[in-house]
Amino acid sequence: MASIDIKAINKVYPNGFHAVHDLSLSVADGEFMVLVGPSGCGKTTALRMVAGLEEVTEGSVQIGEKDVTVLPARERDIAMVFQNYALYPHMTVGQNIGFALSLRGIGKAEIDKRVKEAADVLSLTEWLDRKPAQLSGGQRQRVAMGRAIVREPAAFLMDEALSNLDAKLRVQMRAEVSRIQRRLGVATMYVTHDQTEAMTMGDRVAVMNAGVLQQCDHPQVLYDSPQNLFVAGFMGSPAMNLYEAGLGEGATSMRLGSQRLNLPAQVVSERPGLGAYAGRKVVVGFRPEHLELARANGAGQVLNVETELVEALGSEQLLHFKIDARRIHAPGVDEDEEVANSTSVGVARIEPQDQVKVSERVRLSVKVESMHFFDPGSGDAIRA
Amino acid sequence: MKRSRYGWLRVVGIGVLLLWSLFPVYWALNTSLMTNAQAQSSPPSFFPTHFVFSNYEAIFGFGPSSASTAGGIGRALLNSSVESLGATVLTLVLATIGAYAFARLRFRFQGFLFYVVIATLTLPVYATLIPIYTILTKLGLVNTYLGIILVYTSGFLPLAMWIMYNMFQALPASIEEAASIDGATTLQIFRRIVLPIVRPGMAAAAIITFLFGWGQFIFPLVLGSTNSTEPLTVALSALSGRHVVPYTMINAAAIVAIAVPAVIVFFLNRYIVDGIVAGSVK
Ligand SMILES: Nc1ncnc2c1ncn2[C@@H]1O[C@H](COP(=O)(O)OP(=O)(O)OP(=O)(O)O)[C@@H](O)[C@H]1O
Ligand SMILES: [Mg+2]
Repeated sequence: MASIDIKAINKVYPNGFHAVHDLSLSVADGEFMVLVGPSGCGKTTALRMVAGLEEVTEGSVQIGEKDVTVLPARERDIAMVFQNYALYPHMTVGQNIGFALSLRGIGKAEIDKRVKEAADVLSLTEWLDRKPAQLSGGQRQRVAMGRAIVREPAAFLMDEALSNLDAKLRVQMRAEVSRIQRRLGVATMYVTHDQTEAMTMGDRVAVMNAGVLQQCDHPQVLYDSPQNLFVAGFMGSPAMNLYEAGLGEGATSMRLGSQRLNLPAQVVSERPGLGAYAGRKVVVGFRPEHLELARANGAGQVLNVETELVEALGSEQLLHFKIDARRIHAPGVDEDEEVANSTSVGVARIEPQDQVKVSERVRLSVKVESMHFFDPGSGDAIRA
Repeated sequence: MKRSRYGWLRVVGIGVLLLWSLFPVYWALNTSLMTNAQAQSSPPSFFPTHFVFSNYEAIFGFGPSSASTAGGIGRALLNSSVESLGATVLTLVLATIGAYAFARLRFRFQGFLFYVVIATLTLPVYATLIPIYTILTKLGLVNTYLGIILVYTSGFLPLAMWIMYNMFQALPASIEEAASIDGATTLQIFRRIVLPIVRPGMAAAAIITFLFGWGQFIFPLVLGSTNSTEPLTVALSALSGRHVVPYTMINAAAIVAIAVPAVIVFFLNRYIVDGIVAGSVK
C-alpha cells in the first residue's frame, strides 16, 4: 500500500495535442480520489500516465517511495479497472481473477484460495466457471473489480468503471466500490465525468477542465466554495444559477437584470475582495436550494420571477423559472443557445407542498449570505 | 411470413448449388470404383455395379496393374503434404507476427507498407512465375521442398496476414493493457492472451493457406521437375500416358487428392465460426 504522487505531469500526444497541463495531485494512502471533468478534458490521459500505459511527456509520477515515471505498467504494482472491463474472453471468471497471481508464480492452491476470497467479496462465487460472454454487464464489472482486488496492489486506478451499467445498478455499485475500497485501504484514483459519482464516492475530488486541474478538495468544499466559475457550474445538480450582475457603489447592493438586491455588510466583510468590484460587473451564483418561495410576511431579499416548469420529485420540487437577468454559462459546461438572451432560466428547489402554477409570477427569497461571486473576466471566485 | 413462403426457394437454391459442386466429385468417386471397361460403356452407369478397388491399389503401387503407374502416387501424396503443411506453418507464423506488428506497433510508413503487402494480392500470379524460377535457380532451390514452400508462402502470406490483421484490429487494446497491468511481459501477453483469442482467425488462415497449397499446379509443375517434389496435382496429370488415358485411375487419384482437404475442413471448420471474442468487452 502506498500513496500516489503526481508532480506537474504533461501529456503532448504525437499529433501535438496538449491533453494534460502541469497536473499535480497527491493521493494519500487509503484515500479515494475522484478525477472528474467534462468529456475530453484529459482524465483518462492522466490516469493512463499513472498506470504506465501512456508515456509521460513531462513531470513525474511516484507510487509509494518509488519514482515510476518511466517504469512499464507491469512493474508499477497497480491494478486498473477499464471502462469496457477488458476481461480476457477465453478465460473463465476464476482464471480472469487469478491471472495476475499465476503470472507471479504463486501456487495453485494459494491462487484458488485468494480467487475464492475475492469472489466472495463480490458475490461472484457461483459464476467462477463461466466465461465473460455468459455474464451480465454488472457481473462483468464485478469480475473486473475482482481482478483488481485479488492482487492487493499499491494503488487502484479506475476509468469510468461504472458508466456502462444501468442507472440503478450504478448507484448500487457506487456504494459497493466505496465499501471495498475502504475495506482494503488502497490509494485509489477514480475517473468519471459524472459529478454525482464524484460527490458521493470521493474522499477528495479533483475537477479538471481542458487538461488543467481546476480545484481539488473534499466534495463539500468544492460544492460550498468553488474556486472558479467552472467548478461552480460543474459540481451540483441541478447546476448553480449564474447571472451577470452589476455591483452598486460601495458594494451595498447589486443589480440583477431589472431587479435590485441589497447586500448585507456581512456579505462584503466575508469577501473583502468584493469591495474592489464596486460599480463594476460580476458574476453572481446561487444554488437552487438557496432560493425558496417568499412567504407573504417574510422579510429578506426577494426576486420576482416567472415560473416555467415544475418538476415534482417527491421529496422536493424543482421550479424552473425565467428571470430578466443575463445567464452566464461556466466555460466548458453545457453550452446552450440562449446565452445572450436578456431573460433566462434558473432553477429553485422548493418544498414538496408548495403550490405553484406554470406561467405565474412568483417571488423567491434569496439566501444572500450563501451567494457566490466571480470575476467575469477570469472566472475566479471573488473572496479575499 | 416471408420466410416460410419462400422457404422452398431456398431449399431449391441450395440443392442446385450442392448438385452443381458435388456432382463432379460423385462422378469421380463413381468412376474410380469401376474397371476401365465399365467406365467407358455407353450409356454410362450412374452407380458402380460392383465395387472395384483395384484403381486405388494401383495408384499406390500395389496389385496387378501397378506396373503402369511406376511406383504410385504415395510419394506425391507425401510431397503435397510436406509442401502444403510447410507453407501453412511458415505462412501462419509470419502472418501472425507481421499482422500483430502492423496492428499494434507504430512505425514510419506503416500504412503505406501494409497496403503494399495487401496490394500484392492483386498481382496475377503467373506474372511472377518466370522471375521466381530464375531466383530459385540462382539460389539452387529448384526442385526442393524449401523452394516450393518459400514460393507458396510468398504467395499466401498477404491474404493470411490480412485475416490476422483484422483479428488483431477487432481485439481491443485494453485487453492487452489489462494484462500488462496484471504483470504480464510482452511475450506473455502474446502467448497467453492474444494468441488464444485470435485462434479462430489462425485456424481460418491456416485452412485457407493449406487448401491453396494443396491445389497448386503450375508453380510446382515448373519448379519441381522430378518425382521427389511433385505434388499430387502434378502427378495426377502425369498419369495420362501418350496413348492410354487411365480414367479410372486418374479419378481414384483425384478422390485421394480431394479427401485430404475435405477431412481437414470437416474437422477444423468449427474454429472458423467459433465466436470466441464475443463478450470480452462491455
Ligand atoms: N492518442 C491520442 N492522440 C491525440 N489526441 C488524443 C489521443 N487520445 C486522446 N486524445 C485527446 O486528448 C484529450 C483528452 O482525452 P481523454 O481520453 O483523456 O479525455 P477524457 O477526459 O477521458 O474524456 P472522456 O470523459 O470522454 O473519456 C481529448 O481531446 C482527446 O481527443
Ligand atoms: Mg475517458
